[in-house]
Amino acid sequence: MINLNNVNVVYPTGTHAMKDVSLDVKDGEFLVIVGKSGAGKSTLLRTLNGLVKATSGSVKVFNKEVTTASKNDLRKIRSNTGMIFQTFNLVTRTTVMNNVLTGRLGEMSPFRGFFSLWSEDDKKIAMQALEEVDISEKAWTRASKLSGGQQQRVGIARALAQQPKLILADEPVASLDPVTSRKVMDYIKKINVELGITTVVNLHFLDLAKDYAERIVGMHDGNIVYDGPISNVSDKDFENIYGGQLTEDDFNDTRKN
Amino acid sequence: MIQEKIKNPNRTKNLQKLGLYSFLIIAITWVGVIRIGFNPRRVDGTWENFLFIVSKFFPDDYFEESGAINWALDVAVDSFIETIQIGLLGSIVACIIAYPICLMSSKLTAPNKIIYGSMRTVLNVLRTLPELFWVIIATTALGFGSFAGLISVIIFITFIIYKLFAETLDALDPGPLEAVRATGATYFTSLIHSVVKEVNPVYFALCIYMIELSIRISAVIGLVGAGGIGQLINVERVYFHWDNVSSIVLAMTLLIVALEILSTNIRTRILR
Repeated sequence: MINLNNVNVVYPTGTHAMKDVSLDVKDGEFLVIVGKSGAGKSTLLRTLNGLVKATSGSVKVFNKEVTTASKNDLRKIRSNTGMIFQTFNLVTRTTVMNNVLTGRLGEMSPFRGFFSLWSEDDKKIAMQALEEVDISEKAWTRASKLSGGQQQRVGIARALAQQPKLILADEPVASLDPVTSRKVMDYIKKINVELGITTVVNLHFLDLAKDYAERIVGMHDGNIVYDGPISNVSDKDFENIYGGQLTEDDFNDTRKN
Repeated sequence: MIQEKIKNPNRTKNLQKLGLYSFLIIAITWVGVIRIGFNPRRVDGTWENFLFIVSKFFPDDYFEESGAINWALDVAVDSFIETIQIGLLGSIVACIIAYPICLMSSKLTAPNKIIYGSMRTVLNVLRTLPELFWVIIATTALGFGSFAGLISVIIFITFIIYKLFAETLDALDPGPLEAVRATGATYFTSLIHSVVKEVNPVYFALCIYMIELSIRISAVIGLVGAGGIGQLINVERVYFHWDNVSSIVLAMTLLIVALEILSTNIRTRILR
């Protein structure tokens, strides 16, 4: 599903965010990328749907090269890839339903999209997506009225409305409290298991990573420093990823309540 | 020890600076006074002039049938309506023109760097031209009257909106736009479904304020021949009909106060 081969990303500011990164992700996998802020996790995720262009190397998603994709191909890749953000990125001044419907834009003609001419099917798909994350009763509420956890569930519903083959979640719980974090992670995991959608999640909480990941990829300073099943990962590996001695406090961050 | 520490080590330096700046300010003022020829004797008789003008402004027959108030209700009403029409139409047209211009000239929403850069440069250069310049251009090109006024109002208001709104767009959270782009929507469609929806109430509130502002502007630019109530004030002033002038000014004040109350009211409602 995803093949990265020697991918480098250098930003115009000179930051070398990804250094010779190679990675394969199989269909239906639930992959968690962990690492400090600034380790290159977000950049990796964004190269997958072309929001960030790789400077060199090959990024293949759905067996299509993202870096050199035509506008139309890139649209297709994006429309098959749902994305969930740390800050939810909802349009707060409009309703939840309108936010979820934007997930349909990739499938629609630009003309229909521009004038918000949603079909009955689009609306049904959006409502189903809301039901999937148990928030359909808020469909006609303004997004700004929702709590953080609810907003993120709407974010998940927007991604689901795309009927994607791949979901990218960029620090989906970093701005939520521990209890809500677990709820949101449960939904993301449930979607992966029930709908079989390949999921790549960025996390910086160790506990969440340990509890939800099947396979874990550790990044440090733009390099992949660990790649393997979660059952094999040791505290020593985590120290490599975070580049320093870990104390008991680091693990207590998100202990189950 | 403490005695030494509580002394500001820069004290002498600060005092020197204070002395230098005080001297400069006094010197500049002095040169100005000499050059302009300011002299207390020049103020002599000003108070009498003022009282004389006031008595001309409000003569005895002010409220009578032949007086200025009745004249204003009879004659000036048409000019007032013209001013309001110029302002309203001008700001509506300007608000429609300015929206896409702002979208093209904000870092967040411009389709590419070339359009962004060239829009910014052209608009910033044009914006430095004083407003009076545009009125003079418009009246010479189109002749005196309300059409020239309309064109100049459109130009002013477009520039004012550009200045205020392009900055609002720059300061917007880029997240929602990125999120909609990530669904595979095309450029214009993503704008419509993120930035535009987020910022529309702000824009409408700005437009309401612009209507208020443009009616004020259109009253003033009439003085240089761009139609409406300003032009009428100018005519009456030339004929020394001070009572008519004062009645117009009075009515204008009432109009502006009413407009301000109305626009503040609508804007708070929109932005809620």
